[in-house]
Amino acid sequence: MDSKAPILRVEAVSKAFGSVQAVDSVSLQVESGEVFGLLGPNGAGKSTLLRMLLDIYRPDLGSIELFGHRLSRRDLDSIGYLPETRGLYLRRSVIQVLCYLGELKGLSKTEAIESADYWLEALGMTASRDSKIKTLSKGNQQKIQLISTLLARPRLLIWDEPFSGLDPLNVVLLRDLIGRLKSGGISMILSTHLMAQAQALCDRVGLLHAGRLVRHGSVAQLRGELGVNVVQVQTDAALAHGELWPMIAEVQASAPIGTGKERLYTVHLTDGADPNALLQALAERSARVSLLRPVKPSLEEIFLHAVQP
Amino acid sequence: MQFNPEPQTDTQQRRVLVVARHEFWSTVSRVGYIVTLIGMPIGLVLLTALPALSLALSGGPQSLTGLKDPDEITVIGLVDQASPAAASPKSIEWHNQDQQRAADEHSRGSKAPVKLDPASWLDSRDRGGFQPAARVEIRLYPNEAAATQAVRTGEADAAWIFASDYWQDPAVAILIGRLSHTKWRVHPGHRAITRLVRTSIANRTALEQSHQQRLVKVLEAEYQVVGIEGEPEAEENKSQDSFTALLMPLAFGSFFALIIFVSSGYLLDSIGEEKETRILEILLASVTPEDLLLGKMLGLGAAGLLQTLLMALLGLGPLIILGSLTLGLGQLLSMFLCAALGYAMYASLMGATGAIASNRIEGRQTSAAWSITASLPFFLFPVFIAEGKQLAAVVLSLFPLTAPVAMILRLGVGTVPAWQLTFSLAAMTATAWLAWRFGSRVFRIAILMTGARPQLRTIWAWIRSG
Repeated sequence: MDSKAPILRVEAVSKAFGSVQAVDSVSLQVESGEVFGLLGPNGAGKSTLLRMLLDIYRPDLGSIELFGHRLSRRDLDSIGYLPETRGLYLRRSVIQVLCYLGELKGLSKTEAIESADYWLEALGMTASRDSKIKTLSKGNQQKIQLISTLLARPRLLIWDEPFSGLDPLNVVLLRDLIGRLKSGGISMILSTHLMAQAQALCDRVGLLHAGRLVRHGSVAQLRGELGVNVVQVQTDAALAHGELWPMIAEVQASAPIGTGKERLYTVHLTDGADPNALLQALAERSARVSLLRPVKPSLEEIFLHAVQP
Repeated sequence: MQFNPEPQTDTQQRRVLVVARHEFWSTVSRVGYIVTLIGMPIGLVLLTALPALSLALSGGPQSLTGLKDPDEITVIGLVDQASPAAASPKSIEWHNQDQQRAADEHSRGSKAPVKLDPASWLDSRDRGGFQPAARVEIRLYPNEAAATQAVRTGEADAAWIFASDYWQDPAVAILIGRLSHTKWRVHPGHRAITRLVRTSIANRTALEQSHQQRLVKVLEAEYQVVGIEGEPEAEENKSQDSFTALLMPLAFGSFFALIIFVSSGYLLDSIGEEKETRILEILLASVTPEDLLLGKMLGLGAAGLLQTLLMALLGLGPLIILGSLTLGLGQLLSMFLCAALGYAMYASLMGATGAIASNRIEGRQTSAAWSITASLPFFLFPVFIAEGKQLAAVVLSLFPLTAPVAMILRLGVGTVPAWQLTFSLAAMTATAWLAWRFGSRVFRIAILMTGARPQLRTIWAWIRSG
């Protein structure tokens, strides 16, 4: 396999359940060693797409290539998967559960135990090795689930909402772990609602909405594409969407600043509108302008912009 | 930062076995399993022993085989027109004398070993199982009419008829009056006649071995039971016969059918638990839904089999002691095969049902239809008495969904024609395969579904889509 070839290539994949089109002609690829963010609201088709990557569901149309060849069951041993809806055998001990999951990934029992012990120590969970799962906190259960994805030396990690349920300390721990795994050459797909986390961790993202991939690319690229049309303005004029301000598509205003009438506005300009047009309109109204600067939108804003009709 | 174990060269079978082993040990280590393992045999022993005890207290254990009081003699008629005789007169005389001698010794309370004529063709084993309540006298009658008359008047309890061409064309008829034929296999009279005639067969060394085997088979298993025309079955014996006829097939049918129900129940619980704890999707990232289902079927089938076998070992003990166990190895193997196929069929169906349900309770409710269908033959058990000759019993044992339990019951009651057994096993095999194939399709799609239960139309679409 060419080392520069994408580790995952999805071509025009579709999946329907009855009359519901869960995934509609999605194409994307994940490069070797990168962290790819799959973003989208509930029902966008993220889980269905991920399940197709794991051969849990079979696509109705399209193809999936993993590690340079058509997806096969044997490839699953090289994928660590953390689903969004996840659990463990509550009445079994930590080491029993990890051993079983490791064996299912093709490890021998001895290898599974050795690997489990390694990762338990790495994530500070050695003391819970023989505890029953049900005695662990939700956050610690989640760490065991994360460990289960790492047991068999995965080349690709697919983590669906990995931060949910974690306290701030463990969020930091997980972010650090992701960084170290990435530097170890492991490719990752992070599916999350937390745009800020995705923005901080992902090299590239894909925005999924109603089964379709509405945007994809590097975070910087997406922010650059949309950023020209958002500005922050601090002024005493009352900005609003309407006939008086035809260049404004949407505006959010802060509370009055200090004792004056000035407010800080985040203005989404209409497509093709120039920030200078807004400045000119303000000048024509003899408005006081303390600040006007372009804003690079967050992933959340990019997403909202992409899905709005 | 990485641990570097190399995944083994893996096979689909290995993964299935990993699942099977996990399911087996997870199940057998549960408190509920162990409690059931210990508790149910005790219950079964009590269930089996109490009626027997009740009968023993009221009429002694002989009441189970329709025998008379200890001091009375069971007279068995013999019409032996074969040439040479099927049972030599000398051996009959010896038998009657020996029975008298044994009865005398018993009445004296002697515990000394019985001394037998060393020149006799019988050794001590051939007295086999003499019981005071099972003293049998064999009387010769010249023809069938005389034997019929003797049976009709009560002079003889039954009569064995050996035709003149017995050695060439073996056929044995048992002429009965009051007693149902289902008990003759364990009746001391049958044992006595069989013992004598087997010796004659063994002495006829000129006969080919295969023909000797045929003669023995007809004598022991393929005899015909013929009632006296117009003679009603005695009421006082009917209840005893019914008890024997009911007890055995019910007991064996229950033991084997338990494998189906117990193991399928475990399967349903296992899937329900994994849906509730939401670990299924983690598992499915490593193993196909089909392999997961197959592994569960194997592991939980083994757990159910172990439980049933241990229960059967304890539960069958009293039956063996009571002399009701007359099933041959072939019948037992056929029963086991029916149970295994029945389990494969119902486990697949219940696996799919469990996948559709959102939790264990809903799974049990939904799968009740399968349980009822599988156990339907139990509810219709009366049609199986009289060796399953009734049309309903035959139909139930040939229809795949009722065949596992129905055929087990028929095998317990008596002989089943080879073609019916073959057809039934073939139908069960085909249905088990289809259930597995379609069940795993539903399992694959439904296993991760949440929310409203899909409609039948939707499930059918899943099956068709594959």
